Amino acid sequence: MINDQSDKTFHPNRRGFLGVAAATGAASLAPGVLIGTAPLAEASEPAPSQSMDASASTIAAKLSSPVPGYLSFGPDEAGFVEVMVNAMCPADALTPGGVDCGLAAYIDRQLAGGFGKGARLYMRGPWREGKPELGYQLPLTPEQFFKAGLAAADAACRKRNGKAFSELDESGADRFLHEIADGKVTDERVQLASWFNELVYPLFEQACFADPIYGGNVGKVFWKAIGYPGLPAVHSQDMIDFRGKQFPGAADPKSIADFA
Amino acid sequence: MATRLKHRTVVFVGGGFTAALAARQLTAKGVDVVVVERGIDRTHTAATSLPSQRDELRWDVHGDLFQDWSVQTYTLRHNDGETALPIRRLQAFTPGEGMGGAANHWNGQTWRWSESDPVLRTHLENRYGRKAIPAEMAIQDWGVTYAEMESYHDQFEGLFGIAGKAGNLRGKVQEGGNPFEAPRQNEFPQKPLPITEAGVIFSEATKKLGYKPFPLPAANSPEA
Repeated sequence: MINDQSDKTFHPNRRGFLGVAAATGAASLAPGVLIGTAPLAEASEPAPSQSMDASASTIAAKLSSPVPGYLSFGPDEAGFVEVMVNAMCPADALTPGGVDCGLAAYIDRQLAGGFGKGARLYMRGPWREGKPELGYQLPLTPEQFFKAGLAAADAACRKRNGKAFSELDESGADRFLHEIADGKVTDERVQLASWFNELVYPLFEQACFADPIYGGNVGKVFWKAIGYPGLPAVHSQDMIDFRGKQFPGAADPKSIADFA
Repeated sequence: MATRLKHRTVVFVGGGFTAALAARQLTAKGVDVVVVERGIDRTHTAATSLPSQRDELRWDVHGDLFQDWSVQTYTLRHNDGETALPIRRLQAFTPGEGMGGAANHWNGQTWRWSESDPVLRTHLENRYGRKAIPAEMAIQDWGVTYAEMESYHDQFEGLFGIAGKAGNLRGKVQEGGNPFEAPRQNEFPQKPLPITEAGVIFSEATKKLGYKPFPLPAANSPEA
């Protein structure tokens, strides 16, 4: 995990930022900023922050902590990703913030593992740029592409906003990510819209909805939010018996871990 | 140094459906057969056991049942003015790997040929005239007809216990089946799969519009 003290000095990240904000009262901040639950993950005994609404704090209190530590991310990369997932998944009545849901941990694990290292990806020449219909053609593993995009996005953010991405507040981070997705932020080397829409967003989506054994979707919080029962979703007799009705199993979704 | 294996009468290179069905016929007649397939035998592995079998990220999103694309791929271009480039990640086209081949991730949809499929050139010419097909378009009849294949379709459906509803039994269109189906001699060996909620909604809506929805023929059992 990030060392907040050293990070505050040079590259303030969301955690450091939130710490400062909480300490100073931060009256000028948008209310949404303090809803982020990143500090909870660090506390030995989770305690809902005061500004979090009651239902979000109830969900967070019941959740186990995401798997600690990063395998692929360096501190700056982690800072970027944590701010990003908290902006893309802000704490609300349905789920806690992205970091507490394990979204940063999931993305880190994927990039450190087979997917990130280019498993099942044809990685030999010829290397040429092709039209989008010819698919991915970069001589980079997904992990390398993810990090190249991260660095390019951060540089573009400094140019555009005068500060690092990890220094943006939630709404600023959200706006900047939308600008990237819409192709409004450009970089000489990295096609940032393609980076975000074809690599980052799918990873985010997987982090939310893949089985919790992969580190995201902590406490099956996303499955509960959408009423997905997990593995029993494919039980064919239930699909017939509960046709057009609420499936009681949706209240208590089952992960692969529950059957292991 | 290559290992020289003992002589066999028939060797199948590739252990998917085609090899399995042909080898089944041959071994039943006592012919000496060996089937060679790259990758692992998936029997009693995560792919074939619960709960890991239900891992959507692993099997579906990451395609762990599919051919390992890092080893070998195809190139793609959309016309001869383009430079073809390697397909670097499997997308819609998903050949298999390991014993069983693509049958390992087959969804079980089991359509028979339409009568027009193997005689497509004749069919289109009869319907639209000889000039309708441009000279450079390489559509051909296959040299075999549906009528000749019907008994093999029937045999396959019996062997796999296909679930479905006949739409055309010996030339008579059947209520609830596919009205465009080619004539079949026999009903499906199993009754159709129960319709899910999405299917019920689709079925009701399309019936109202005057269409004839029918259950897909599937290699899945409707009952235990």
